[in-house]
Amino acid sequence: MLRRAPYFFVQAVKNLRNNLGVHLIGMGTTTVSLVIFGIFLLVFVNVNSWVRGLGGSGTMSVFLEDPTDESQLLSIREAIESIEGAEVVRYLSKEDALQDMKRFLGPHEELIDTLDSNPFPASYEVVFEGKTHPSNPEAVRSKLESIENVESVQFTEQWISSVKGMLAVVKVAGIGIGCLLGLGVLTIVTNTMRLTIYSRRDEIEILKMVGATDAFVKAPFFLEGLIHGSLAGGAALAVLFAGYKVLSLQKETIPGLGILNVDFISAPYFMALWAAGVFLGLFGSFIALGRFFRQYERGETL
Amino acid sequence: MIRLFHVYKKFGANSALNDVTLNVDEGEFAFITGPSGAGKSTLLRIMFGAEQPTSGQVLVNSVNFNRIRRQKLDLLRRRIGFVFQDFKLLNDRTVSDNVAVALLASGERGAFVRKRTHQALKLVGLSGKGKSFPRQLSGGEQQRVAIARAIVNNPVLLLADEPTGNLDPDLTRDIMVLFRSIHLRGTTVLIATHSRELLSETKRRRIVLNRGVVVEDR
Repeated sequence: MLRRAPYFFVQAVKNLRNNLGVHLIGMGTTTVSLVIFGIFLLVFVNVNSWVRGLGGSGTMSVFLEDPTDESQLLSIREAIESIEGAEVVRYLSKEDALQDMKRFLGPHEELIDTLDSNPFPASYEVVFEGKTHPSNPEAVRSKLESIENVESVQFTEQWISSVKGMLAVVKVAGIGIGCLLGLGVLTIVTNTMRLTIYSRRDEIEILKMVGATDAFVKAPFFLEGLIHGSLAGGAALAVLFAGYKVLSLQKETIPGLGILNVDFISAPYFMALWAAGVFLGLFGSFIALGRFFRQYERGETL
Repeated sequence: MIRLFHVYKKFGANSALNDVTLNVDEGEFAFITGPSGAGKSTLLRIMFGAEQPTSGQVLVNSVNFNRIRRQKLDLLRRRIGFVFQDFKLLNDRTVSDNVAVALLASGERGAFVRKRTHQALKLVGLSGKGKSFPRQLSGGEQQRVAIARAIVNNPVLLLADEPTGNLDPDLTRDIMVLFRSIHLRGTTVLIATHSRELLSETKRRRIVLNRGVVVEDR
């Protein structure tokens, strides 16, 4: 079979060329669907990475009342570190908090300038031994809040868990939409392949007449489906990567994205997305050929 | 070469063949004749394995079609050539490619395919037309290409369904000369035709069908 590969390849390319219109429509649809799925993947991967980065440290933010002088800061720090397992890892002054907010707002940072005074409190970031939250966080919160000049305490885990909840929704929605898009694309690819198979039914009849095996007849169509899926998968990755590059270059101008690190999908996801295109192309050919040959055996197609 | 035992073929309520029993020996040259709708084409298609009989036994080259698997039928077809009235050529391929397809489908390749294709085209008198496309040829030439494709694998049996149906008398004679030369090379030839002119010029065996029944065999 392999020694006939050049013949199959030539036939597959001829089929593609002769049915270019339907193939372009099919590939376009496959590409758009894979891009949509890729966007879900990109969002999921990045949000997951941000949450992991924040949640892994088990951080608590201890916000301080204004104004707080050096000696008060020191005594608050000592009080915090007197709690079992607690360690202050960072002091965020009011000015630091203001600058963080400016970076967060990106091009809209001038909004901050409209404020009469700096409204952001200074804070300590506290982690616990083993970098996980204490077994009884509410008791620790009470202890921290009882320290003089401490205004409030925020568990990063609280909002992380709500973001994780949202992430789970994104994940389920992504899988659901991916499955629906996959089914839609499969139908389109199957019909595209059916059109190309029917356009060459005379050739199939002649090939069967001169003793070609089913595998010999089917191979160029499988190859055609494979090329269709590969090109659509490749185009989807190119579009996704171009979109990611544009986003990376423009992210400073998008409020909230400036301080975040946006990554492209990793190599395994990259390959999986391309493989999804290949699989859809091949499976579409498989279904279309199966239907055609069942009809052929019943004498309905010729 | 061909053995048919009590073959029946029905398409719905219509009977195409009724209790057909006949033998065609190896090396024979015979005609199947009869009016339109007599069952000639159906009989050829059954001999080729393109149709399954409703009942009865069909043996071709000692292979029983009732017991043969699909893959085996593909292999058997490489030993049987088939010529159609409408030629069934691929118009987007050259004459050479049309003939070579039978060899490629049989797993042959390269220099052997080129050599055998050239020989087959030479035999049918088209050695200079290899690069032409079917639509650039006359009807007679197109039928020669179809015959070249049918014989390129050196078949033991050549079946032809109204091979001269679309040709004028001069071209018909040329094609019959070609069939005779193929027969002389040892191939069993069976031709379905309703042309009285064609039959009047030969004293070869003729199997006459009428309404699916063999009414004469001489």
